Amino acid sequence: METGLDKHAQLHTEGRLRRSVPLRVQRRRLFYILVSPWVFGFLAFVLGPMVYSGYISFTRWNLLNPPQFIGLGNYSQMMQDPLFWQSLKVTTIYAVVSVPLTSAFALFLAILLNQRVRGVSIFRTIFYLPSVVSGVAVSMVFLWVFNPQFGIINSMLHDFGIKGPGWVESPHWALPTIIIMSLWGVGSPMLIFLAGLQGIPPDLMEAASLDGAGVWRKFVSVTIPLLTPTILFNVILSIINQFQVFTQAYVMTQGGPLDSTLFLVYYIFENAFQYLNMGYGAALAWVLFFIVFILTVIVFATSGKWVFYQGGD
Amino acid sequence: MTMSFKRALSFTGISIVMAGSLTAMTVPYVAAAAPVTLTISTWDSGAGLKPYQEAIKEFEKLHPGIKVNLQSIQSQYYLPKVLTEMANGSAPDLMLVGDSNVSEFVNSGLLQNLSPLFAHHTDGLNSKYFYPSVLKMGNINGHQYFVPKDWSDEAVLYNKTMFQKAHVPYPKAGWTLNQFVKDAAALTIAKSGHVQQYGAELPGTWLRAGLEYWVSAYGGNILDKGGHSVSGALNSAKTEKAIESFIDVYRSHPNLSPSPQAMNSTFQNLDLFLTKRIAMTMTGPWNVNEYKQAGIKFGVAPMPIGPVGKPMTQMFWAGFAVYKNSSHVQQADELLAFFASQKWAKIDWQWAMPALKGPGVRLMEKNNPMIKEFFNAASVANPITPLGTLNWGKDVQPVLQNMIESGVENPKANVKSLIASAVSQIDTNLKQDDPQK
Amino acid sequence: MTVNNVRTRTERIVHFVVYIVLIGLSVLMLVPLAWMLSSALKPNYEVFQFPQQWIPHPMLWSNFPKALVFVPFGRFFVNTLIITFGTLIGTLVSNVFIAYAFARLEAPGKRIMFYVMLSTMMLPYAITMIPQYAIFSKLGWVNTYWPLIFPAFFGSPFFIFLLRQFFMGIPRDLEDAAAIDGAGVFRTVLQIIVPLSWPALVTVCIFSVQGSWNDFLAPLIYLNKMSLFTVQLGLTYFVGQYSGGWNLLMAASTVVLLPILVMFYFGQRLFVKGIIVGGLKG
Repeated sequence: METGLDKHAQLHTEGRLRRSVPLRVQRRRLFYILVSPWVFGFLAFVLGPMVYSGYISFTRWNLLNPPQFIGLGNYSQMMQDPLFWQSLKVTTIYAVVSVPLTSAFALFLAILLNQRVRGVSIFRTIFYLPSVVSGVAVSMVFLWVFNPQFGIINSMLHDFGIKGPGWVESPHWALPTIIIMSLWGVGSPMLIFLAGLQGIPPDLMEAASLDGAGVWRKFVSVTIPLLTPTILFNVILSIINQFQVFTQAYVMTQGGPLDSTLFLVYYIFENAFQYLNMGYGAALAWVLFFIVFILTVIVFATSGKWVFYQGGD
Repeated sequence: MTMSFKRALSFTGISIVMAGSLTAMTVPYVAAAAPVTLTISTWDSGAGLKPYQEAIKEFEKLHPGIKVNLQSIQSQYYLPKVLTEMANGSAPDLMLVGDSNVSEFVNSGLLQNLSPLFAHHTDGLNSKYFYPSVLKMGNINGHQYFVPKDWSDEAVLYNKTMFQKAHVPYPKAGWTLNQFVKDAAALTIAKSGHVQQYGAELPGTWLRAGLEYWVSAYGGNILDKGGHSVSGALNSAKTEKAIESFIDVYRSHPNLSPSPQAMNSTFQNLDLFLTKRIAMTMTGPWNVNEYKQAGIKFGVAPMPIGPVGKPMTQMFWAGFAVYKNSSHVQQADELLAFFASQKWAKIDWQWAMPALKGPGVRLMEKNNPMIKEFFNAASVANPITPLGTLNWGKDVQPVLQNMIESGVENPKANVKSLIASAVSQIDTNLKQDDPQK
Repeated sequence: MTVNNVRTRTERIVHFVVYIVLIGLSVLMLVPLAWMLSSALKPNYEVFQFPQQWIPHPMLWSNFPKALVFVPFGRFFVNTLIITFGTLIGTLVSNVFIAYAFARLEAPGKRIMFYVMLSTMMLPYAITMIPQYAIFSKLGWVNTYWPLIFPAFFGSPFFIFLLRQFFMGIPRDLEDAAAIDGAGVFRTVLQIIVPLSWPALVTVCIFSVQGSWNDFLAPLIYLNKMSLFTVQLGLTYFVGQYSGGWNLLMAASTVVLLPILVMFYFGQRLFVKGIIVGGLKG
C-alpha cells in the first residue's frame, strides 16, 4: 500500500511540475485514499450501528431469540415507565446545573491562571490534574471523601460545628454530590478557556484601559465578547459529556438512593446489559441522542445572537 | 440495587482471603482420545476459587481426556453475562446456578434435565446420598435441574469484646427478636449524631433470604407459592406486619444499623463486622473463617425466635447445572458426577456446608465448630421461596428495594401504602414483560 | 507618577488576592487525592476514626503490596497496557493521515465529510453501544480486546479535528520543497509534518492513553472473564470481593491513578501547548 501511495505521490509531483489538471486528480484521489479509513469507520461504527439501533428500538430482543418487531411498543412503554421519567428528570437536572456551573468555574480558573503571577504553571498543573484521572478510582475516592460517617468532608464540617449531610446516602444530596464532583474535573474546558484568553489581542485591552475602563468593565465588554466562540465550543462539549454521565452512578450509587441518581445512560446500560432488554435500551438511547441533538441545535441556532467572531478566520 | 442479589448469590462463599497465586495445574497425561476442554462458570472469586481449583486438579487426574477451564464472572452480572454467552455461542458447559437465577435459566429451556442421569448414572450420582431438603431445591416442575453444590442458612455472629464492654450477656439459643433489638440498641454507640459502633447489621435491601427471613418469622411471604407474583403474598396482613416491624426498627433506632441506603452506597460491601464497627451481624457461614483469621473475638448464636415461634432463619443454596446445548454433554455429566460425590464434599467443607451426608460433613463438624450452629439451624430453617416465572432481578428486586428505602427515608410514610404501590408496580412490570398475559 | 504608583499598588493587591484564591483552590483540588493517599497508608482501625486524622500513624506502606496481591492486579495492568498500546498505535496511524488529508488536500465532498465528521463528535456512545455489541458478539469478539482496540484504527473525530487545526498552522513551503525533492505523501508526513507537530501528537497520545486507561463502560460490557479485566474493572471487582478495607482500596486506587499522573507530569508542557494551538480556532 505504501509503495502504491508513494507512486501516486510521485506521479503527483511530476504532474505538478508539468501539467496541472492531472495534479488535481491525483491529489483528489490521494484525499479519498487517506480518508477512506475514516469513511469505513463511519459506516461500520457509526452510521451502520445507528440504523441498526433504530431498527432494534422497534423490537423486543434479548439476544437469545431473534428480534421480534413490536412497532412503537418500546416507545409507548417508555411513556408509562416512571423510571424513564425519573432518569430523564435526574439527567436534565444534572446537566442544567452542571453545564453552566462547570463552564463558569472553568472560566474563573482560566482567568486566574491568565494573571501574570509567579508559579502559574504549578497552579495550572494542579487544576488540570483531576481531569486526567477519572473513572472508577476517582469515584471510589469521592465515595470515601464524602462518606458521612468516616469521610474527611464531614469530619472537617464537624470541626466547624456543622453536622454534614448524608451525601450519597441521601436522596436529596446524592445528585448534588455528583454535581460537586463534576466541578473537580474542569481541567479541559479550563485549558481551552485559557487558550481563548491568550488569544485576545493585548492592544484591545490597552485601548479599553486608555478609555478609562475598569477591570470589570474590560471583562464584560472586551473579554467576554471575544471569548464567546470558546464559550460556545465548551458549552457544546459540556452538554454532550454531561448527558453521558455513567461511571459515578455505577460505582457510587447504582442509581440510588430511591433512584435519585438514575442517569439516563445508567438506565440504558441496566436495561440492555443487566436485563437483556436490548430493544428498550436502544429506544432509550435514541431518546438520549434526540435530546442532545436538539439542545446542540438550539445552542447553535441562538449562537448567532451572542457569539462574536473576530474578523473571521 | 445489586447488593442483595450479590449477597444472595455469593452464598457459596466466600470469605476472601488472598487471591494467592493460582496453583499451577499439572497437565495430565492425555489418553488416546483427543482432549476435550470443558468450561465451568461461577460467580465465586478470590479465595472462593480455591475449592474449584482443587476439584479440577483431582478431576483431571481421574479423567485424563478432559481439561477444565474455570471462568469467574462478577456476581452482579452473572446471569446476563452467561445468557449473553449462550447467545453468542461461547457458553460454559457447566455452570453454577443459584436461587435467584435458576428459574430464569430453566424457563428459557437452557438447562439439561438431570433426572434421567440420576436414574442411570453408574457411579456417584445418587439421590440417596444427599440431604433430601437440599436436593429438593434443584427440583423444578418435577425435574432435577442441578446438583446442589452446598447450602447455607443464617445465624448471628456477635463480637464478644463489644458485648463485654457494654455489659450485655451473650445471646443464647431461644432468645427473641425483641431481645435482639434491645441488645442491639444497648450496643449502639453514637456521639453527637456520629455513630462509633452499630449495634447490629440488619439485612437492609438484601431481600432474598435476608428480608425474607424477617418476613417468614411473622408467618408471611414475599412471593406467592409458585413464585409467579407478589400480590396476595407481599400485601397479606402477616407480611405487612413483618415489613412494618422491620422498617420500624430503623425508624425508632436510627443509629442501630447502617441504613439500607448506606449499605448500597458508602458502605457497599464494606464488611463492618470485620472492621469492628458492628456488634452483631445476621449472616451466612461464608465469612466465619475470614473473621477467625482476622483475630476477631466472636461467637455464633442461633437466630432469634420470631413472633411465629421459630428461629428466623432461611435456607438457601447454589448448585451446578449443565448447559443443554453444550457440545460435550457427556464429559460435562462426568464433571457433574464429581461434584455430586464425597470427593467434592471433602474439599468443600472448609468453605460451606456440604449437600452430601457422610465424611465431608463429619470433617466440617470436627474441624469447624463455629459452623456447627449453622448446621443445627438447618432442621428448623425455612427453605427460600423458589422463583417460578419471575424475573426477580428486573421486575421485583428494584421495586422492593425502593419500598424499603422509602420507608426508612421518610419516617412518616405509611408502610402499608408503600407495600400497596410496590405490589401494583411489580404487577405492571410483569405485564410489560409478557404482554400476552 | 502618582497615577502609576496607585496602579502598581492596586496591581499588588490584585496579585495578592489572586494568589490567595489560587492557593485556596489548589488545596481544594488536592484534598481528594491527598485523602486517598492518607487513607492508603493508614491501618484499618484508623481509617474508621472520627474525627479523622490526616497523618497516618503508623504509616503502613505494606498496604500497597497487600492491596496488589488481593486480586491479580499485575495481570490487570498488563491487560490494560495491551489495550492502551493497541489503541494508541491505531490512533496515531489513522488520525495523522486522515487529518493531513483534511488539512492539505482538496477534493469534492471534503467540506461535507468534514462537517459530518465533526457532528459525529456529539453522538452519545449509548446509541451505538448496543448494535456494536451485537455486531462484535456475532464476530465472536466478546471476551477479546478487539472491540476496544479495533475502532481506534479508523480515526476519531476529536483527534482528527485537533491534528487538522495544528497541521494547518504549519507553513506549506516546507512540504512544497519536499515535493519538489520528490518525496511521497508518507515521507512528507513522517519527515516534515510529524517532527513539527510534537505538541499536537503528545496531546493526542495523552488523550488516547488517558481514554483507554480510564475507560470503564466498554470493558464492562465486553470483558467477562477476570483474566481479561482492565485495572478499572479490577477496582470494582476489588470492592465486590474484598470487603475489609478502604485503606487497601485507596492503595489500589492510588496505584491505578499513578501511571496517568506520571505521564501527565512528563508530557504536560507539550500537552498544554497542543491544546492551546489545536483547540483555539474552534
